[in-house]
Amino acid sequence: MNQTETIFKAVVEGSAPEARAGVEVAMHAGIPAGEIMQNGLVAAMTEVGRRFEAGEYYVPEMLISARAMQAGLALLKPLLVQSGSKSAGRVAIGTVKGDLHTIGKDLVAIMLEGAGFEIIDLGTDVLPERFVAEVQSGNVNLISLSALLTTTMPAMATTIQALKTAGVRDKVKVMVGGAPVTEAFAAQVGADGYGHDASAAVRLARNLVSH
Amino acid sequence: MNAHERLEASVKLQQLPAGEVPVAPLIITYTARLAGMKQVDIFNSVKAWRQAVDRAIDRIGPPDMGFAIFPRDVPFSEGLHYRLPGRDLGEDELFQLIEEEVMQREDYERLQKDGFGRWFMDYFVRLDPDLPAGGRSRTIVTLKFIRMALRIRGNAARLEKRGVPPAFYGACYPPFDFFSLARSINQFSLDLYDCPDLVQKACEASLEPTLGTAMQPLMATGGKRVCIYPMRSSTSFINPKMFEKFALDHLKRMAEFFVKKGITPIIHCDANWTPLLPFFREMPRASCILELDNDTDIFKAKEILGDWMCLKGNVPAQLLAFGETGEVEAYCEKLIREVGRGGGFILGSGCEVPLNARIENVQAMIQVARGWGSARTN
Repeated sequence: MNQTETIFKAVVEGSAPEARAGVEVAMHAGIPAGEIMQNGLVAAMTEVGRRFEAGEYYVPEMLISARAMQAGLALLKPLLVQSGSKSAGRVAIGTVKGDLHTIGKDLVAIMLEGAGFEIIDLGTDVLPERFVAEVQSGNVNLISLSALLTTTMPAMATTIQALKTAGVRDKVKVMVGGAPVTEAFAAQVGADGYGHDASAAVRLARNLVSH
Repeated sequence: MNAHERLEASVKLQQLPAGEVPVAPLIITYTARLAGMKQVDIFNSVKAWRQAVDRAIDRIGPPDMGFAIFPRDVPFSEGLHYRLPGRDLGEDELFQLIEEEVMQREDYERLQKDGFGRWFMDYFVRLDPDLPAGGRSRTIVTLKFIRMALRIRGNAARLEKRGVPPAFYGACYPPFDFFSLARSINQFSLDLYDCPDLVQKACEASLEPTLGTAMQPLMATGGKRVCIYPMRSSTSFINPKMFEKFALDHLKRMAEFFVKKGITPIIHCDANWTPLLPFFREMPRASCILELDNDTDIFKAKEILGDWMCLKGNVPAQLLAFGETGEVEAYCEKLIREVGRGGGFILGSGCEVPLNARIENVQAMIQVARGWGSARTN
Protein backbone atom coordinates (compact mmCIF):
# COMPACT_ATOMS: atom_id res chain seq x y z
CA MET A 1 0.00 0.00 0.00
CA ASN A 2 1.50 3.34 -0.96
CA GLN A 3 1.30 6.37 1.29
CA THR A 4 -1.74 8.01 -0.27
CA GLU A 5 -3.54 4.68 -0.07
CA THR A 6 -2.71 4.57 3.64
CA ILE A 7 -4.23 8.03 4.06
CA PHE A 8 -7.25 6.97 1.99
CA LYS A 9 -7.85 3.95 4.21
CA ALA A 10 -7.46 5.96 7.41
CA VAL A 11 -10.02 8.55 6.30
CA VAL A 12 -12.53 6.01 5.01
CA GLU A 13 -12.24 4.08 8.27
CA GLY A 14 -12.53 7.28 10.29
CA SER A 15 -9.20 7.20 12.11
CA ALA A 16 -8.08 10.78 12.66
CA PRO A 17 -4.71 9.84 14.29
CA GLU A 18 -3.85 7.53 11.40
CA ALA A 19 -4.93 10.08 8.80
CA ARG A 20 -2.81 12.75 10.41
CA ALA A 21 0.17 10.41 10.74
CA GLY A 22 -0.26 9.31 7.15
CA VAL A 23 -0.24 12.87 5.87
CA GLU A 24 2.85 13.63 7.96
CA VAL A 25 4.72 10.67 6.51
CA ALA A 26 3.64 11.56 2.99
CA MET A 27 4.78 15.16 3.41
CA HIS A 28 8.18 14.06 4.71
CA ALA A 29 8.48 11.64 1.83
CA GLY A 30 8.20 14.63 -0.49
CA ILE A 31 4.90 13.69 -2.09
CA PRO A 32 3.41 16.88 -3.54
CA ALA A 33 0.68 18.42 -1.40
CA GLY A 34 -1.80 18.43 -4.25
CA GLU A 35 -1.27 14.71 -4.80
CA ILE A 36 -1.74 13.94 -1.08
CA MET A 37 -4.90 16.02 -1.17
CA GLN A 38 -6.43 14.53 -4.32
CA ASN A 39 -5.33 10.89 -4.09
CA GLY A 40 -5.54 10.63 -0.31
CA LEU A 41 -8.07 12.95 1.26
CA VAL A 42 -10.42 13.84 -1.59
CA ALA A 43 -10.44 10.33 -2.98
CA ALA A 44 -11.32 9.02 0.47
CA MET A 45 -14.20 11.42 0.95
CA THR A 46 -15.47 10.56 -2.52
CA GLU A 47 -15.52 6.93 -1.41
CA VAL A 48 -17.31 7.96 1.78
CA GLY A 49 -19.90 9.74 -0.33
CA ARG A 50 -20.31 6.64 -2.49
CA ARG A 51 -20.84 4.47 0.57
CA PHE A 52 -23.36 6.98 1.94
CA GLU A 53 -25.37 6.88 -1.28
CA ALA A 54 -25.13 3.08 -1.33
CA GLY A 55 -26.62 2.97 2.18
CA GLU A 56 -23.45 1.56 3.73
CA TYR A 57 -22.48 4.73 5.56
CA TYR A 58 -24.74 7.04 7.46
CA VAL A 59 -24.30 10.40 9.15
CA PRO A 60 -22.03 9.22 12.00
CA GLU A 61 -19.70 7.42 9.58
CA MET A 62 -19.53 10.52 7.38
CA LEU A 63 -18.68 12.65 10.39
CA ILE A 64 -15.90 10.47 11.73
CA SER A 65 -14.40 10.22 8.26
CA ALA A 66 -14.71 13.99 7.91
CA ARG A 67 -12.93 14.40 11.24
CA ALA A 68 -10.13 12.21 9.97
CA MET A 69 -9.97 14.18 6.74
CA GLN A 70 -9.86 17.47 8.62
CA ALA A 71 -7.04 16.15 10.84
CA GLY A 72 -4.98 15.44 7.74
CA LEU A 73 -6.00 18.66 6.01
CA ALA A 74 -4.93 20.77 8.97
CA LEU A 75 -1.36 19.59 8.42
CA LEU A 76 -1.54 19.92 4.68
CA LYS A 77 -3.15 23.34 4.31
CA PRO A 78 -0.03 25.49 4.70
CA LEU A 79 1.71 23.38 2.08
CA LEU A 80 -1.24 23.65 -0.27
CA VAL A 81 -1.20 27.44 0.04
CA GLN A 82 2.57 27.53 -0.45
CA SER A 83 2.41 25.39 -3.56
CA GLY A 84 -0.36 27.53 -5.03
CA SER A 85 -2.59 24.52 -5.21
CA LYS A 86 -6.04 25.43 -6.46
CA SER A 87 -9.18 24.31 -4.73
CA ALA A 88 -12.04 22.66 -6.58
CA GLY A 89 -13.96 25.90 -6.11
CA ARG A 90 -15.00 28.42 -3.50
CA VAL A 91 -18.45 27.98 -1.99
CA ALA A 92 -20.47 30.32 0.16
CA ILE A 93 -22.90 28.15 2.09
CA GLY A 94 -25.65 29.15 4.45
CA THR A 95 -29.12 28.48 5.72
CA VAL A 96 -31.42 31.14 4.33
CA LYS A 97 -32.98 34.08 6.09
CA GLY A 98 -35.35 33.16 8.89
CA ASP A 99 -34.07 29.60 9.22
CA LEU A 100 -31.80 28.46 12.04
CA HIS A 101 -31.30 24.83 11.05
CA THR A 102 -27.68 23.81 10.70
CA ILE A 103 -27.46 20.02 10.42
CA GLY A 104 -27.96 19.66 6.69
CA LYS A 105 -25.90 22.71 5.86
CA ASP A 106 -23.04 21.50 8.05
CA LEU A 107 -23.04 18.05 6.44
CA VAL A 108 -22.92 19.56 2.97
CA ALA A 109 -20.09 21.90 4.01
CA ILE A 110 -18.12 19.00 5.43
CA MET A 111 -18.53 16.90 2.30
CA LEU A 112 -17.71 19.80 -0.01
CA GLU A 113 -14.54 20.48 1.98
CA GLY A 114 -13.69 16.83 1.68
CA ALA A 115 -14.08 17.13 -2.06
CA GLY A 116 -11.48 19.89 -2.16
CA PHE A 117 -13.77 22.92 -2.14
CA GLU A 118 -12.95 25.96 -0.07
CA ILE A 119 -15.89 26.76 2.18
CA ILE A 120 -17.11 30.12 3.40
CA ASP A 121 -19.73 29.15 5.94
CA LEU A 122 -22.09 32.07 6.45
CA GLY A 123 -24.04 30.27 9.15
CA THR A 124 -27.79 30.42 9.55
CA ASP A 125 -30.45 33.08 9.05
CA VAL A 126 -28.37 34.56 6.25
CA LEU A 127 -29.69 37.66 4.54
CA PRO A 128 -29.66 37.68 0.74
CA GLU A 129 -27.32 40.69 0.84
CA ARG A 130 -24.60 38.62 2.49
CA PHE A 131 -24.60 36.13 -0.33
CA VAL A 132 -24.55 39.01 -2.80
CA ALA A 133 -21.59 40.57 -0.99
CA GLU A 134 -19.58 37.36 -1.25
CA VAL A 135 -20.18 37.19 -4.99
CA GLN A 136 -19.44 40.89 -5.48
CA SER A 137 -16.12 40.56 -3.72
CA GLY A 138 -15.11 37.92 -6.24
CA ASN A 139 -14.73 35.40 -3.44
CA VAL A 140 -16.95 32.59 -4.63
CA ASN A 141 -18.05 30.80 -7.74
CA LEU A 142 -20.77 28.70 -6.09
CA ILE A 143 -23.51 29.43 -3.59
CA SER A 144 -25.22 26.67 -1.60
CA LEU A 145 -28.56 27.55 0.01
CA SER A 146 -30.22 25.40 2.65
CA ALA A 147 -33.78 25.63 4.00
CA LEU A 148 -35.51 23.26 6.38
CA LEU A 149 -38.91 24.94 6.61
CA THR A 150 -41.55 25.49 3.93
CA THR A 151 -41.90 29.02 5.34
CA THR A 152 -38.24 29.84 4.67
CA MET A 153 -38.01 28.22 1.21
CA PRO A 154 -39.20 31.47 -0.43
CA ALA A 155 -36.01 33.10 0.88
CA MET A 156 -34.16 31.00 -1.68
CA ALA A 157 -36.08 32.80 -4.42
CA THR A 158 -35.42 36.13 -2.71
CA THR A 159 -31.70 35.41 -2.53
CA ILE A 160 -31.53 34.48 -6.21
CA GLN A 161 -33.49 37.61 -7.10
CA ALA A 162 -31.06 39.68 -5.02
CA LEU A 163 -28.19 38.26 -7.08
CA LYS A 164 -30.03 39.27 -10.25
CA THR A 165 -30.80 42.76 -8.96
CA ALA A 166 -27.13 43.24 -8.05
CA GLY A 167 -26.16 42.18 -11.55
CA VAL A 168 -24.07 39.21 -10.39
CA ARG A 169 -26.35 36.27 -11.05
CA ASP A 170 -24.30 35.20 -14.06
CA LYS A 171 -21.08 35.25 -12.01
CA VAL A 172 -22.07 32.40 -9.74
CA LYS A 173 -23.83 29.04 -9.74
CA VAL A 174 -26.52 28.47 -7.15
CA MET A 175 -27.49 25.11 -5.68
CA VAL A 176 -30.24 24.49 -3.16
CA GLY A 177 -31.23 21.74 -0.76
CA GLY A 178 -33.00 20.87 2.47
CA ALA A 179 -35.68 18.45 3.57
CA PRO A 180 -38.77 20.19 2.08
CA VAL A 181 -36.95 21.38 -1.07
CA THR A 182 -37.53 19.56 -4.36
CA GLU A 183 -36.06 19.53 -7.83
CA ALA A 184 -39.20 21.22 -9.10
CA PHE A 185 -38.91 23.98 -6.53
CA ALA A 186 -35.26 24.51 -7.41
CA ALA A 187 -36.20 24.99 -11.06
CA GLN A 188 -39.07 27.28 -10.09
CA VAL A 189 -36.82 29.66 -8.13
CA GLY A 190 -34.13 29.71 -10.78
CA ALA A 191 -31.46 27.68 -9.00
CA ASP A 192 -28.85 25.88 -11.10
CA GLY A 193 -29.32 22.62 -9.27
CA TYR A 194 -30.78 20.70 -6.37
CA GLY A 195 -28.94 18.26 -4.10
CA HIS A 196 -31.11 15.80 -2.19
CA ASP A 197 -28.36 14.95 0.28
CA ALA A 198 -24.78 15.89 1.13
CA SER A 199 -23.22 13.38 -1.22
CA ALA A 200 -25.41 14.44 -4.14
CA ALA A 201 -24.51 18.05 -3.34
CA VAL A 202 -20.83 17.27 -3.92
CA ARG A 203 -21.50 15.72 -7.34
CA LEU A 204 -23.68 18.67 -8.23
CA ALA A 205 -21.07 21.18 -7.08
CA ARG A 206 -18.35 19.50 -9.15
CA ASN A 207 -20.65 19.52 -12.15
CA LEU A 208 -21.65 23.15 -11.72
CA VAL A 209 -18.14 24.57 -11.32
CA SER A 210 -16.82 22.65 -14.28
CA HIS A 211 -19.38 24.29 -16.61
CA MET B 1 -69.08 7.53 16.48
CA ASN B 2 -67.30 10.21 18.46
CA ALA B 3 -63.62 11.04 18.17
CA HIS B 4 -62.62 8.89 21.15
CA GLU B 5 -64.36 5.89 19.62
CA ARG B 6 -62.77 6.45 16.21
CA LEU B 7 -59.32 6.71 17.75
CA GLU B 8 -59.74 3.68 19.98
CA ALA B 9 -61.02 1.55 17.12
CA SER B 10 -58.09 2.63 14.96
CA VAL B 11 -55.54 1.78 17.64
CA LYS B 12 -57.19 -1.65 17.93
CA LEU B 13 -56.93 -2.03 14.13
CA GLN B 14 -60.67 -2.29 13.65
CA GLN B 15 -62.32 -1.49 10.34
CA LEU B 16 -64.39 1.65 10.64
CA PRO B 17 -67.68 2.48 8.91
CA ALA B 18 -67.77 4.98 6.06
CA GLY B 19 -67.19 8.57 7.11
CA GLU B 20 -65.48 7.55 10.35
CA VAL B 21 -61.84 7.69 9.28
CA PRO B 22 -60.11 9.62 12.06
CA VAL B 23 -58.35 12.74 10.91
CA ALA B 24 -55.87 14.72 13.00
CA PRO B 25 -53.53 17.15 11.29
CA LEU B 26 -50.79 18.17 13.71
CA ILE B 27 -51.74 21.78 14.40
CA ILE B 28 -50.03 23.78 17.12
CA THR B 29 -48.44 26.96 15.77
CA TYR B 30 -50.74 26.92 12.72
CA THR B 31 -53.63 27.53 15.11
CA ALA B 32 -52.80 31.24 14.94
CA ARG B 33 -53.27 31.28 11.16
CA LEU B 34 -56.65 29.63 11.45
CA ALA B 35 -57.67 32.07 14.16
CA GLY B 36 -56.48 35.19 12.34
CA MET B 37 -53.86 35.84 15.01
CA LYS B 38 -50.10 36.22 15.03
CA GLN B 39 -47.58 33.79 16.53
CA VAL B 40 -46.72 36.31 19.25
CA ASP B 41 -50.37 36.29 20.38
CA ILE B 42 -50.55 32.54 20.99
CA PHE B 43 -47.08 32.40 22.52
CA ASN B 44 -47.63 35.15 25.05
CA SER B 45 -51.09 34.48 26.41
CA VAL B 46 -52.81 31.26 27.47
CA LYS B 47 -56.15 33.06 27.11
CA ALA B 48 -55.33 34.06 23.53
CA TRP B 49 -54.17 30.52 22.82
CA ARG B 50 -57.46 29.07 24.04
CA GLN B 51 -59.42 31.56 21.95
CA ALA B 52 -57.29 30.64 18.97
CA VAL B 53 -57.99 26.94 19.48
CA ASP B 54 -61.73 27.59 19.58
CA ARG B 55 -61.62 29.67 16.40
CA ALA B 56 -59.43 27.09 14.67
CA ILE B 57 -61.88 24.30 15.46
CA ASP B 58 -64.74 26.46 14.17
CA ARG B 59 -62.81 27.19 10.98
CA ILE B 60 -61.83 23.69 9.87
CA GLY B 61 -64.32 21.57 11.77
CA PRO B 62 -63.34 19.53 14.80
CA PRO B 63 -60.47 17.15 14.07
CA ASP B 64 -60.15 13.91 16.02
CA MET B 65 -57.16 15.11 18.04
CA GLY B 66 -56.14 18.51 19.30
CA PHE B 67 -53.12 19.80 21.13
CA ALA B 68 -53.33 20.75 24.75
CA ILE B 69 -49.80 22.08 25.08
CA PHE B 70 -49.46 25.87 25.29
CA PRO B 71 -47.15 26.86 22.40
CA ARG B 72 -44.67 28.65 24.65
CA ASP B 73 -44.11 25.40 26.52
CA VAL B 74 -43.04 23.57 23.36
CA PRO B 75 -39.60 25.19 22.90
CA PHE B 76 -39.12 25.30 26.67
CA SER B 77 -39.54 21.55 26.99
CA GLU B 78 -37.38 20.61 23.99
CA GLY B 79 -34.16 21.10 25.91
CA LEU B 80 -32.36 23.50 23.59
CA HIS B 81 -31.94 27.25 23.35
CA TYR B 82 -34.64 28.83 21.24
CA ARG B 83 -35.86 32.01 19.60
CA LEU B 84 -39.39 33.25 20.09
CA PRO B 85 -41.72 35.37 17.94
CA GLY B 86 -41.99 38.91 19.18
CA ARG B 87 -38.95 38.54 21.41
CA ASP B 88 -36.16 37.39 19.09
CA LEU B 89 -38.01 37.04 15.80
CA GLY B 90 -40.69 38.88 13.89
CA GLU B 91 -44.09 38.80 15.56
CA ASP B 92 -45.50 36.30 13.12
CA GLU B 93 -42.42 34.11 12.57
CA LEU B 94 -42.18 30.50 13.67
CA PHE B 95 -40.27 29.86 16.88
CA GLN B 96 -37.02 28.04 16.28
CA LEU B 97 -34.66 25.84 18.23
CA ILE B 98 -30.96 26.55 18.05
CA GLU B 99 -29.09 23.40 17.09
CA GLU B 100 -25.90 23.54 19.12
CA GLU B 101 -23.98 21.58 21.72
CA VAL B 102 -25.39 22.21 25.19
CA MET B 103 -24.63 18.92 26.90
CA GLN B 104 -20.92 18.14 27.24
CA ARG B 105 -19.29 14.73 27.00
CA GLU B 106 -18.55 14.90 30.75
CA ASP B 107 -22.31 14.97 31.38
CA TYR B 108 -22.68 11.26 30.57
CA GLU B 109 -20.83 10.42 33.77
CA ARG B 110 -22.16 13.41 35.68
CA LEU B 111 -25.76 12.33 35.26
CA GLN B 112 -24.95 8.87 36.56
CA LYS B 113 -23.15 10.37 39.57
CA ASP B 114 -25.78 13.02 40.38
CA GLY B 115 -28.79 10.98 39.39
CA PHE B 116 -30.69 11.73 36.19
CA GLY B 117 -33.45 13.72 37.94
CA ARG B 118 -31.09 16.26 39.46
CA TRP B 119 -28.91 16.38 36.35
CA PHE B 120 -31.96 16.98 34.13
CA MET B 121 -33.07 19.93 36.22
CA ASP B 122 -29.50 21.30 36.28
CA TYR B 123 -29.46 20.94 32.51
CA PHE B 124 -32.56 23.11 32.17
CA VAL B 125 -31.06 25.62 34.61
CA ARG B 126 -28.03 25.73 32.30
CA LEU B 127 -30.32 26.64 29.42
CA ASP B 128 -31.80 29.63 31.22
CA PRO B 129 -29.47 32.67 31.19
CA ASP B 130 -31.44 34.23 34.07
CA LEU B 131 -30.94 31.32 36.45
CA PRO B 132 -27.72 30.79 38.42
CA ALA B 133 -26.66 27.21 39.14
CA GLY B 134 -28.02 25.70 42.33
CA GLY B 135 -30.91 24.15 44.19
CA ARG B 136 -33.16 27.19 44.12
CA SER B 137 -32.92 27.33 40.35
CA ARG B 138 -33.70 23.63 40.10
CA THR B 139 -36.84 24.31 42.09
CA ILE B 140 -37.79 27.10 39.71
CA VAL B 141 -37.36 24.78 36.74
CA THR B 142 -39.41 22.08 38.47
CA LEU B 143 -42.18 24.61 39.02
CA LYS B 144 -42.07 25.52 35.32
CA PHE B 145 -42.66 21.88 34.43
CA ILE B 146 -45.50 21.64 36.94
CA ARG B 147 -47.06 24.77 35.50
CA MET B 148 -46.77 23.27 32.02
CA ALA B 149 -48.60 20.15 33.20
CA LEU B 150 -51.35 22.24 34.82
CA ARG B 151 -51.82 24.21 31.61
CA ILE B 152 -52.07 20.95 29.68
CA ARG B 153 -54.75 19.82 32.08
CA GLY B 154 -56.77 23.02 31.64
CA ASN B 155 -56.35 23.06 27.87
CA ALA B 156 -57.22 19.37 27.65
CA ALA B 157 -60.48 19.93 29.50
CA ARG B 158 -61.47 22.69 27.09
CA LEU B 159 -60.66 20.52 24.08
CA GLU B 160 -62.75 17.68 25.47
CA LYS B 161 -65.69 20.08 25.85
CA ARG B 162 -65.40 20.76 22.12
CA GLY B 163 -65.41 17.03 21.41
CA VAL B 164 -61.75 17.04 20.45
CA PRO B 165 -59.63 14.60 22.44
CA PRO B 166 -56.12 15.87 23.21
CA ALA B 167 -53.54 14.07 21.08
CA PHE B 168 -51.49 13.37 24.19
CA TYR B 169 -51.23 14.49 27.79
CA GLY B 170 -47.51 14.05 28.25
CA ALA B 171 -44.44 13.51 26.12
CA CYS B 172 -40.89 12.25 26.41
CA TYR B 173 -37.75 11.63 24.44
CA PRO B 174 -35.99 8.30 24.69
CA PRO B 175 -32.66 9.10 26.38
CA PHE B 176 -30.70 8.35 23.20
CA ASP B 177 -32.64 10.97 21.29
CA PHE B 178 -32.48 13.56 24.02
CA PHE B 179 -28.70 13.20 24.20
CA SER B 180 -28.46 13.51 20.42
CA LEU B 181 -30.36 16.80 20.57
CA ALA B 182 -28.50 18.10 23.59
CA ARG B 183 -25.01 17.15 22.36
CA SER B 184 -25.78 18.26 18.79
CA ILE B 185 -25.82 15.73 15.99
CA ASN B 186 -22.15 16.34 15.15
CA GLN B 187 -20.82 15.73 18.66
CA PHE B 188 -23.21 12.90 19.44
CA SER B 189 -22.28 11.08 16.25
CA LEU B 190 -18.65 11.23 17.34
CA ASP B 191 -19.64 10.04 20.85
CA LEU B 192 -21.21 6.91 19.34
CA TYR B 193 -17.80 5.99 17.97
CA ASP B 194 -15.51 7.50 20.58
CA CYS B 195 -17.31 6.42 23.77
CA PRO B 196 -20.19 4.05 22.97
CA ASP B 197 -20.17 2.37 26.39
CA LEU B 198 -20.45 5.72 28.12
CA VAL B 199 -23.44 6.64 25.96
CA GLN B 200 -25.16 3.32 26.59
CA LYS B 201 -24.65 3.48 30.34
CA ALA B 202 -25.97 7.03 30.46
CA CYS B 203 -29.00 6.02 28.39
CA GLU B 204 -29.75 3.11 30.71
CA ALA B 205 -29.37 5.28 33.79
CA SER B 206 -31.81 7.78 32.32
CA LEU B 207 -34.60 5.51 31.12
CA GLU B 208 -36.58 4.88 34.30
CA PRO B 209 -36.40 8.48 35.50
CA THR B 210 -37.53 9.60 32.03
CA LEU B 211 -40.55 7.33 32.25
CA GLY B 212 -41.28 8.55 35.77
CA THR B 213 -41.19 12.17 34.65
CA ALA B 214 -43.41 11.42 31.65
CA MET B 215 -46.01 9.84 33.94
CA GLN B 216 -46.47 12.95 36.03
CA PRO B 217 -48.74 14.95 33.68
CA LEU B 218 -50.52 11.72 32.77
CA MET B 219 -51.32 11.07 36.41
CA ALA B 220 -52.28 14.70 36.96
CA THR B 221 -54.73 14.65 34.05
CA GLY B 222 -55.82 11.01 33.95
CA GLY B 223 -54.85 11.14 30.31
CA LYS B 224 -54.46 7.95 28.33
CA ARG B 225 -52.10 8.96 25.53
CA VAL B 226 -48.43 9.89 25.62
CA CYS B 227 -46.07 10.96 22.85
CA ILE B 228 -42.65 9.37 22.50
CA TYR B 229 -40.22 11.29 20.28
CA PRO B 230 -37.40 9.13 18.87
CA MET B 231 -36.36 12.12 16.78
CA ARG B 232 -32.76 11.16 16.18
CA SER B 233 -32.92 7.36 15.87
CA SER B 234 -34.01 7.17 12.26
CA THR B 235 -31.69 6.21 9.43
CA SER B 236 -31.57 9.89 8.52
CA PHE B 237 -29.25 10.18 11.52
CA ILE B 238 -27.82 6.76 12.41
CA ASN B 239 -27.26 3.41 10.71
CA PRO B 240 -29.65 0.53 11.38
CA LYS B 241 -27.03 -1.38 13.39
CA MET B 242 -26.66 1.59 15.71
CA PHE B 243 -30.42 1.76 16.08
CA GLU B 244 -30.43 -1.89 17.15
CA LYS B 245 -27.53 -1.43 19.52
CA PHE B 246 -28.41 1.87 21.15
CA ALA B 247 -32.05 2.75 20.66
CA LEU B 248 -34.34 -0.19 19.93
CA ASP B 249 -34.41 -1.78 23.36
CA HIS B 250 -35.33 1.46 25.08
CA LEU B 251 -38.00 2.33 22.54
CA LYS B 252 -39.58 -1.09 23.08
CA ARG B 253 -39.38 -0.80 26.85
CA MET B 254 -40.94 2.66 26.78
CA ALA B 255 -43.83 1.47 24.62
CA GLU B 256 -44.36 -1.60 26.82
CA PHE B 257 -44.23 0.48 30.00
CA PHE B 258 -47.01 2.79 28.89
CA VAL B 259 -49.15 0.09 27.31
CA LYS B 260 -49.04 -1.92 30.56
CA LYS B 261 -50.49 1.12 32.31
CA GLY B 262 -53.31 1.39 29.80
CA ILE B 263 -51.73 4.37 28.07
CA THR B 264 -51.45 4.54 24.29
CA PRO B 265 -48.06 5.72 23.02
CA ILE B 266 -47.96 7.85 19.91
CA ILE B 267 -44.48 7.13 18.57
CA HIS B 268 -43.72 10.26 16.57
CA CYS B 269 -41.16 9.26 13.97
CA ASP B 270 -39.86 12.08 11.82
CA ALA B 271 -37.40 11.46 8.98
CA ASN B 272 -36.65 8.11 7.34
CA TRP B 273 -37.74 5.04 9.28
CA THR B 274 -38.42 2.84 6.27
CA PRO B 275 -35.50 0.41 6.87
CA LEU B 276 -36.46 0.12 10.55
CA LEU B 277 -40.18 -0.58 10.16
CA PRO B 278 -39.92 -4.33 10.88
CA PHE B 279 -38.64 -3.54 14.38
CA PHE B 280 -42.00 -2.07 15.32
CA ARG B 281 -43.40 -5.61 15.26
CA GLU B 282 -41.43 -6.11 18.46
CA MET B 283 -43.70 -3.60 20.19
CA PRO B 284 -47.11 -4.38 21.65
CA ARG B 285 -49.67 -5.22 19.00
CA ALA B 286 -52.76 -3.04 18.44
CA SER B 287 -51.71 -0.73 21.25
CA CYS B 288 -49.62 2.09 19.75
CA ILE B 289 -49.85 4.74 17.07
CA LEU B 290 -46.90 5.14 14.71
CA GLU B 291 -46.85 8.70 13.39
CA LEU B 292 -44.84 9.18 10.20
CA ASP B 293 -43.86 12.06 7.98
CA ASN B 294 -43.26 11.78 4.26
CA ASP B 295 -39.60 10.75 4.56
CA THR B 296 -40.87 7.27 5.52
CA ASP B 297 -42.74 5.19 2.99
CA ILE B 298 -46.09 4.92 4.75
CA PHE B 299 -47.36 2.48 2.11
CA LYS B 300 -44.46 0.17 2.95
CA ALA B 301 -45.35 0.68 6.61
CA LYS B 302 -48.84 -0.60 5.84
CA GLU B 303 -47.39 -3.72 4.19
CA ILE B 304 -45.12 -4.43 7.14
CA LEU B 305 -47.22 -3.19 10.05
CA GLY B 306 -50.80 -3.12 8.81
CA ASP B 307 -51.82 -5.99 11.07
CA TRP B 308 -49.73 -4.77 14.00
CA MET B 309 -49.79 -1.06 14.61
CA CYS B 310 -52.04 1.90 13.87
CA LEU B 311 -50.41 4.27 11.39
CA LYS B 312 -50.84 8.05 11.33
CA GLY B 313 -49.75 10.50 8.67
CA ASN B 314 -48.44 11.66 6.33
CA VAL B 315 -49.69 14.52 4.15
CA PRO B 316 -46.45 16.41 3.41
CA ALA B 317 -45.85 19.95 4.61
CA GLN B 318 -44.81 20.92 1.08
CA LEU B 319 -48.15 19.74 -0.30
CA LEU B 320 -50.13 21.60 2.33
CA ALA B 321 -48.13 24.78 1.66
CA PHE B 322 -47.65 24.74 -2.09
CA GLY B 323 -50.02 22.13 -3.48
CA GLU B 324 -53.38 22.58 -5.13
CA THR B 325 -56.37 21.46 -3.09
CA GLY B 326 -57.12 18.76 -5.64
CA GLU B 327 -53.65 17.32 -5.10
CA VAL B 328 -54.18 17.26 -1.33
CA GLU B 329 -57.54 15.57 -1.75
CA ALA B 330 -56.07 12.98 -4.11
CA TYR B 331 -53.26 12.14 -1.70
CA CYS B 332 -55.61 11.90 1.28
CA GLU B 333 -57.88 9.57 -0.70
CA LYS B 334 -54.90 7.42 -1.65
CA LEU B 335 -53.82 7.25 2.00
CA ILE B 336 -57.26 6.27 3.22
CA ARG B 337 -57.74 3.77 0.43
CA GLU B 338 -54.40 2.06 0.81
CA VAL B 339 -53.10 2.73 4.30
CA GLY B 340 -56.58 2.79 5.81
CA ARG B 341 -57.62 -0.48 4.17
CA GLY B 342 -58.96 -2.73 6.91
CA GLY B 343 -58.62 -0.04 9.56
CA GLY B 344 -55.70 0.99 11.75
CA PHE B 345 -55.16 4.42 10.21
CA ILE B 346 -55.45 8.04 11.29
CA LEU B 347 -55.16 10.59 8.50
CA GLY B 348 -52.61 13.17 9.57
CA SER B 349 -50.01 15.62 8.40
CA GLY B 350 -46.34 14.75 8.05
CA CYS B 351 -45.26 16.39 11.29
CA GLU B 352 -46.61 19.87 12.01
CA VAL B 353 -48.82 21.73 9.55
CA PRO B 354 -46.56 24.57 8.38
CA LEU B 355 -47.42 28.21 8.93
CA ASN B 356 -47.79 28.78 5.21
CA ALA B 357 -50.18 25.87 4.65
CA ARG B 358 -53.15 26.94 2.57
CA ILE B 359 -56.22 26.83 4.77
CA GLU B 360 -58.30 25.18 2.06
CA ASN B 361 -55.74 22.36 1.95
CA VAL B 362 -56.06 21.72 5.67
CA GLN B 363 -59.85 21.89 5.37
CA ALA B 364 -59.61 19.38 2.53
CA MET B 365 -57.97 16.84 4.84
CA ILE B 366 -60.92 17.01 7.24
CA GLN B 367 -63.49 16.95 4.44
CA VAL B 368 -61.98 13.95 2.69
CA ALA B 369 -61.94 11.95 5.91
CA ARG B 370 -65.47 12.89 6.87
CA GLY B 371 -66.75 12.27 3.39
CA TRP B 372 -64.98 8.95 2.92
CA GLY B 373 -67.35 6.30 1.73
CA SER B 374 -69.60 8.75 -0.08
CA ALA B 375 -70.23 8.44 -3.83
CA ARG B 376 -67.39 10.87 -4.52
CA THR B 377 -64.63 8.91 -2.89
CA ASN B 378 -65.71 5.32 -3.51
